Amino acid sequence: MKLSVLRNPAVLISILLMFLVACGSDSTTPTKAEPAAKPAAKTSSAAPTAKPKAADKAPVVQDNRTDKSLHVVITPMPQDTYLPWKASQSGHLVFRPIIENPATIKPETGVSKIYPQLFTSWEISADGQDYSFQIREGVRFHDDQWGEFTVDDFIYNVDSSTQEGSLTGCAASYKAFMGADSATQMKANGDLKVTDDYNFTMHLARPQVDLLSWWMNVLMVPCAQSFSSAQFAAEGESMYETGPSGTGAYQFTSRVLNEYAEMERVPYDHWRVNPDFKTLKISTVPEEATRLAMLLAGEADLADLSKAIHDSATEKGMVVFESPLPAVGLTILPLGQYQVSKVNYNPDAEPWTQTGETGRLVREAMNRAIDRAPIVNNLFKGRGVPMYNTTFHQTLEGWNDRWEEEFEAKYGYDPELAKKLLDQAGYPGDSNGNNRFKIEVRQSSLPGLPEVIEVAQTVMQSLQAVGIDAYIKETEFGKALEEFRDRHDAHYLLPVRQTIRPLAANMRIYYYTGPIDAEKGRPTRGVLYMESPIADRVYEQMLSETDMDIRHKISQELGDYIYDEYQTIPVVNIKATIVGNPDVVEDYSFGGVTGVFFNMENIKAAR
Amino acid sequence: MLISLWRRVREARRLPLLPLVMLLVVLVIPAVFAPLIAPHSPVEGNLNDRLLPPFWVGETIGYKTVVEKVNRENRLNEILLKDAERRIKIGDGTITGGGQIVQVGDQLEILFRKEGSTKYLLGTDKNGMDIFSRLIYGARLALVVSLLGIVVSGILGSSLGIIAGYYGGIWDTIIMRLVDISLSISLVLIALVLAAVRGPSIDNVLIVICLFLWSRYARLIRGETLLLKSQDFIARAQVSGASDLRIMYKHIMPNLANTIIVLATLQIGFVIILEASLSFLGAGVPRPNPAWGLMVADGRELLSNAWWVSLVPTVAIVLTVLSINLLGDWVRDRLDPKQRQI
Amino acid sequence: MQRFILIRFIQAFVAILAVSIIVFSLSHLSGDPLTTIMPMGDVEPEDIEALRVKWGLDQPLHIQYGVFLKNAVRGDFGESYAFGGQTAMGMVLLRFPATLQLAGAALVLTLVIGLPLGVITAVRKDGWVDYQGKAIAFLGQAIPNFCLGIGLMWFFAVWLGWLPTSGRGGIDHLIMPAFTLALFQVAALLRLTRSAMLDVLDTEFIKMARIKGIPEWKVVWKHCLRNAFIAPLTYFAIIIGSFFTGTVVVETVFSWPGVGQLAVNSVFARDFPTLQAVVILGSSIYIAANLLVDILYAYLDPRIRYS
Repeated sequence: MKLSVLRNPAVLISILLMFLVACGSDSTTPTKAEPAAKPAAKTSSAAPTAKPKAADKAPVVQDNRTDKSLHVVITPMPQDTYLPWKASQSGHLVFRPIIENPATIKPETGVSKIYPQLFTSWEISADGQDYSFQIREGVRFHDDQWGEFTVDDFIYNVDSSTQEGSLTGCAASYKAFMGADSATQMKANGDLKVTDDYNFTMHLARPQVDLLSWWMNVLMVPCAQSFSSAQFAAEGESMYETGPSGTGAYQFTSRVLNEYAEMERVPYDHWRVNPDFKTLKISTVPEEATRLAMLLAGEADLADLSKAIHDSATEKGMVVFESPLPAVGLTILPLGQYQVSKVNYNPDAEPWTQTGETGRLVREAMNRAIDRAPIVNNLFKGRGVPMYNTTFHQTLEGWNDRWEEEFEAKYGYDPELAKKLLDQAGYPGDSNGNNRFKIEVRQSSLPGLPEVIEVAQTVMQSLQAVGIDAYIKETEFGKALEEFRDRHDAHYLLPVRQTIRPLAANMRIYYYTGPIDAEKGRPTRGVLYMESPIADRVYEQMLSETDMDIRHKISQELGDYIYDEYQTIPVVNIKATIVGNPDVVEDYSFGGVTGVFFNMENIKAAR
Repeated sequence: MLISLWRRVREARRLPLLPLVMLLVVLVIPAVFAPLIAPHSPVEGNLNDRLLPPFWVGETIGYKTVVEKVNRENRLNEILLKDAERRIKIGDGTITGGGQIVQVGDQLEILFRKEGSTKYLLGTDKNGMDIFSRLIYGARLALVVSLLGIVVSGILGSSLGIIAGYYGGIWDTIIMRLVDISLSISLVLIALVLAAVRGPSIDNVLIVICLFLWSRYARLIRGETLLLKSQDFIARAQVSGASDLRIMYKHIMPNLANTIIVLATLQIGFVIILEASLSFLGAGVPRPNPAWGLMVADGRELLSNAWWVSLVPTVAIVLTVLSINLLGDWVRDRLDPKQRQI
Repeated sequence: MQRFILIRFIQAFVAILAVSIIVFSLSHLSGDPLTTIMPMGDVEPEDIEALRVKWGLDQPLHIQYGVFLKNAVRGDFGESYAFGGQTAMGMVLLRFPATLQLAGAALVLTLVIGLPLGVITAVRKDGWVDYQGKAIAFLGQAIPNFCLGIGLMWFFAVWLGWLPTSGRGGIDHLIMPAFTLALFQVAALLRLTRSAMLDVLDTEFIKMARIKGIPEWKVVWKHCLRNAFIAPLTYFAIIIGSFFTGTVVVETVFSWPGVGQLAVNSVFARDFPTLQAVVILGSSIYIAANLLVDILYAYLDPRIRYS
């Protein structure tokens, strides 16, 4: 072939066309600006996670039913299954509109306040071990033949999630506080007493004052749902694939794994809410550019997009809906502190793992070296809120206002001070104050938090600026997780995504090492953030404490320890966002503190 | 005038000038003189300067955030507000990130304007890194990766191909079945698994490139060797008692040189494309290395509001591959016209 | 002939076995699936161990491989880790038609565009058509296919609104993904056909045909093409193989519910059974196709049989 190709107009035109395709979008004028941020909810700080007695307000069923359909596109989770107990986190988003739970939360108050849903009221004894529950009467299943939701259905759903081979996150915890392998067994033991179809009592094996929060659908665990036990008895496991009957405001239409799920509004008046949209389709689309294209082409009405491309959508008239409260946090862990298990633990191995003054100075210096303002302002575009302490949140128990007030003084950006602190800690580096010590910064993309890539990059540069020899290593998060959960020789900075959950749940997940395994001579639980005797003690005390004020004080101790010892590098709390087409969707209030798109039945249709 | 000059050059059937110049400008010169040309570091960015457009692009309203008056209760947007209030106090209308503050009643509107400047010739990416500098250092990376990949796989594949063709029999069977296996496995998936096992690295990319390419050399060279083997001068050499190694090295190799060079030239473009595809799937060169494919992949979702992030490196890739393939064609016509099927 | 076929069959079987060893050991090196599957931090260690035993992940690797092979021979690759309750093979078979449709459409496009263009560009050498053809060929081989895919989607779906952006559905859903997948091979086939045609057009045999007064179209499309077709044919196996590789990227871009997307997902989810099923099935198809071509060749050309 000859070189005359380049003389060819077609080549030039094609190249030109490519330019046009990309540049042209730039010239379109913004048609509709994003509306002003919705007034944020007022939240009470440090509210108890469980209400001793919840009053049942008669629900006001509003009715704006339309014949419209709604199409939501989201990022696929790596797991997807028809069987609710076969997945840890994923397969549940698509279940959410068709099921309900004993209790729920509202977007404005987040997990700080629990509202009744399928249960109308509950009472806890003073020692936190005896519960009595009342189930809402007249909640019917989608398919008329399975009757109403009763205590049998509740027992079936708990059994389902604790069964053998369960991959749910709740099985082990359920078994622990139930003192039995299943609710049925608990009933046989006499710890669960059924008064009638709608009333029952439970005697727990250990105090569990936040029991109700385990029964909500927003903790990313698929537990205590509302599938029909009668249907299961009649159809077996296959019902989950062909059409599970739930109690939610949408009923199952069809579903293909890892592709889409379709639902339709129940044909009768739902006890709680009549959704605006007649049908609801949730599709999973892996490529973000494709989700954006679908939204702009009018194929999707709500799309899960990262903040970096919100502009692309809003310039074309799309609207960003954000959760009233921050949903997830981004924090950076200086790993390697296995103080309890002592596995792979060598406090002198790295400057930041040292005990006492030295380690603290180093960690403070790292905190001081990082300028959080550009991260909050530019990266998260005003949807970020500064995080003052890891794991703790303003709206939850254990919060101490001091952390916020002193933040500027204790954590504020000051590279010169950082250098001095490092000198003081004994890491003066070379004559120019460089090469003080090496530190690896792990970079891995986290689902729902793509900005973590840029954060890791910024952190690396900030540390380099104060003379720390920081470098980036890119790993898949699963690989990093495996390493530090098994207490490998994991000594690096790891930016992680932190879901804001009730404090006790988060403490269990992130800090609690558990009883010592006699055989191996080390704690039974893998640990995620850090090990500390203080964390273990605080968690165990919290479990048995039912007085909310005392719990608050106890948990503050751990918060103070993490804060004053600079155990982590808190960065930012982020509001969850979803981008929608204002011609179809008027409003969607979601997320609360967990960031999950949960109450899809409440999405308002545009008129 | 240029066109007529070019036409004369072309008709003289001399070196293809345009692709050569293009290649020099896009790939070779930047690769060799990267530190001299690049105005910024290719791996350091500034979040305050993220997603700035190229210098010729004028004012673009990036985004608008409306911040309400401080509400202590909800503790929202505080850093943003503090910063804004401070700036207003000192009479500076701009805030970090190039935003501008406008006070509307009780609310503060922050308009972020993005404007191209000659500080960043081709704009900046999500990390606030200079795309021009990354492009230049990326040329170095592209050159090194593709050359290394091609040399290693070329040596490996050609040697195996000669052995298979020359000895035949069991060697031929084993080597050709290996070729089959390597062609049959989806190497993109192998690349993904490798990235999961070892973390993304340049080594992985090289390994995958070699796995991809060696079989192509082996196949072609085996066929050529078979043809050569049947020719008289090889038989004569065998009769005169030359060792197999000597025959392969002295008699067969020189006759294959052209074919190998042609194949190698034509594969460079393929390697660059492959690297980009691997980056797209998250198994390419790791961040923050300034690999072209990575740059394209990292900016792909920004096509409509920051097109330069991925389009600029795409153009670099297209121009490079285009000119390499054109050159490759020319080399082939010159050296080995019978290998048109490559 | 029978002996030749037998030997090739055994060789193909050994190749598939080798593939299975490679994919098995690689996937088990990629990490602990339980860490990825079990919820972060919130599972008691006993539960993880129980699952490890249930899935046989506590056994030494060679024993695991033995069990795997025993079941795989019967087409049983085990239960998918990522799609609880589904068999790995079931998931692959569920997704397979979509990939086959996409690859098939791309193949048709490749043939329908690449072959005639190759012929025409050869006949009209250095003419206008030739330049356009070469432009397609060179550009097609210079654009990474995910760039092309996203660009097409932006242009035809978002701007013009002519085609749906993504997903599987009617024929309109197929156009962009198939074209994206095909373009690179169109370019390759075009170049190949053109070269082969040029060679044949130069031969005495064609000159004779022309002298004989056979109409030009018949000379080109019948006599020439028949002779020139052999070179592209040998390239066919490579085209088919590359489609199955290409689908990984194209399916991700266009959210096409095929095996490629499933494979990517299974790597990230450490879903060993599905990954193994995908790779082994894909390789088997390729190897079988090659085997068929080899046998066909041997049948057509006795020289190969005895070489």
